[in-house]
Amino acid sequence: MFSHPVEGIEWDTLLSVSPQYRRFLEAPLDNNQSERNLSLALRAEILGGWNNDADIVHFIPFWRLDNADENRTHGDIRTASWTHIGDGWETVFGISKVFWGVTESQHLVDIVNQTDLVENPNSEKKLGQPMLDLTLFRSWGTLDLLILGKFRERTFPGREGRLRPTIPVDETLSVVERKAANADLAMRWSQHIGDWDLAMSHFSGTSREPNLVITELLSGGLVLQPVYPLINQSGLEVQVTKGEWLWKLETIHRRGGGQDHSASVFGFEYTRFGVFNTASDLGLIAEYNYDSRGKDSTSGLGNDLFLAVRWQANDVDDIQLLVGSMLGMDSDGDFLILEGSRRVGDSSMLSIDGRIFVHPSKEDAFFSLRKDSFLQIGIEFFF
Amino acid sequence: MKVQIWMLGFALIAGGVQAGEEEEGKRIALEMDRVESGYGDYRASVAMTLRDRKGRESMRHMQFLTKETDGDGDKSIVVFKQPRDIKGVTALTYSHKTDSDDQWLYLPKLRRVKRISSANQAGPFVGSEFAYEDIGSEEPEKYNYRHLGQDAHEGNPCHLIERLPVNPDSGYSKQVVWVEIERMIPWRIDYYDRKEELLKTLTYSGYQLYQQRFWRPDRKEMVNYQAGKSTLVEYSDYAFSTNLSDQDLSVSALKRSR
Repeated sequence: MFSHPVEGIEWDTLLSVSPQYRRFLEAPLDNNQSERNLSLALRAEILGGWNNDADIVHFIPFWRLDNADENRTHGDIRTASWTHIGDGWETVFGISKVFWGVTESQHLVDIVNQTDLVENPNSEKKLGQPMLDLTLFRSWGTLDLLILGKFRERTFPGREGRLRPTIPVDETLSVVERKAANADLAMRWSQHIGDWDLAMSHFSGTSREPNLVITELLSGGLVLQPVYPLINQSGLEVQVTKGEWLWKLETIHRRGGGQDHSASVFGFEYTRFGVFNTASDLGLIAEYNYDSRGKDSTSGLGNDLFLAVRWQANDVDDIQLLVGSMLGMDSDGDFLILEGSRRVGDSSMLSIDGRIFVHPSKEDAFFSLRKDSFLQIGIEFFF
Repeated sequence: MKVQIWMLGFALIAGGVQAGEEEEGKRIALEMDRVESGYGDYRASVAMTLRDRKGRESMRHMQFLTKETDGDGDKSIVVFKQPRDIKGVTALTYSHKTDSDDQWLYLPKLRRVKRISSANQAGPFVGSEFAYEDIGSEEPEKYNYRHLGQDAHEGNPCHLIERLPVNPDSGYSKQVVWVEIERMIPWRIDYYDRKEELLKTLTYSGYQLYQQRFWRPDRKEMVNYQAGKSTLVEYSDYAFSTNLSDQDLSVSALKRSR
């Protein structure tokens, strides 16, 4: 980390190098698929501000090299933006990232950025999105108006990669429906009133979630063709914070894309602070995931209960561990997730991740991942 | 009967004395608050050195921004700079005089703002010996007071006041504060745990005068007797009245603070 003024601009940089090892616990369904991934990610973050930080440029390039999956070897400009801060308003112009939502098990409302799925099956990693974002601050809340430029297609694991549908996705066949102006529009109002945090949003444009259509190639093989339809999606976010209890709700209604539908996730996070006579915290997360399409839900979360325990040591090394499970209410199929991290020394972070698929049946959306349970270890070195 | 009347009289006098001690304690607390406030807003760079039982050290660097509000607690932002794995993590707090605080946390990797519980008053701040309640905004309404008498701290004549936290989430049964009589600034705080045993001592040093009006320490050191650990906090680059706006201390500003 450096911070020094050059010709009136004050720069901040952060570089990181992260080797990662992912080991699958069972032999793959397809012999072409790998048993393990060994990969290396590089990330840089450069931030410069002038005018007393009323103008900020922000640049984050990212690149990953993977030994087993050619699609996982990829680069992306996560951010390349200019932010200007006015009196009562702000603009962000360029490639950026916007997160919307409150819940933990699924991010239904979050729609601005495309998912970088090859990075992690948890969909938390996103691709940079070209945009113009105007934020207005008013007594009645904060209003974000966004014009979203170039459409980014979702990344999918390649033929040699794991954690992919049994029939591979062929991105060369993808169909993207665009509005005439080749831009998507989005807006969001947010406000906090005492213990309540509220937001309402609307998106009109190309869906970030593709329909995967089984297609027969001339050569006779089957592939999945990603089709990105035009949709309109409205979203609502509510969080009520009452002492140790966080009550959360996200709900969307989507029109277009073949089947109009609604989906919701709601539940709570309850934390006991200072448990077992130590400084550590123990949290319980319970969230119910609903989709009006039921088993046809593209997220695979039509009627599923997420339960998790989070432990935080609050120590010098910031040790954290989360163990959770997504329990299918309509079927026997469940999956377990494991996320842990700790600081090592002053400038590196060790993390473990895992996903275990437990007896999925053919009705489960993750049936094709039934042999893809994995454990992963990574360390991120910062400079 | 006579004895009972005598006892009643004694109780009245004792009660009167106690009420006087409470008033005097409260008066000192309000005077400390008056002397401390009126700056509008300030920024400061903070370096924390965490020392464990074996003397091993680890560092935390952060930037503090605080803005006073009319009639309520302060609004403040803490931007973490080091360790590098938490660089850019930012906390926003709207403190309230009596209600529990509103608190948000910004996670830069996910670009996510999370409203978090502020019930964790007794929990450690970034693994240090400071609890969240020790670094939060000092509001006189957060305690009940008693004036204990006078004592000297390194040659400075001080009022000794006892303060009892109002918030049931507090980790303390009481605190004893050494307040310099002349300038009404704190020199030392003893913290007693819920079992009423001495837990920690905070000492202030290197007071400097800013804007010809505000005394601020260069250093604060918290020693935890029970854990055998300590945390040294060093302040630098103090800037007062920098015209921070409400927009600069809003949930949206979390994404661009540094």
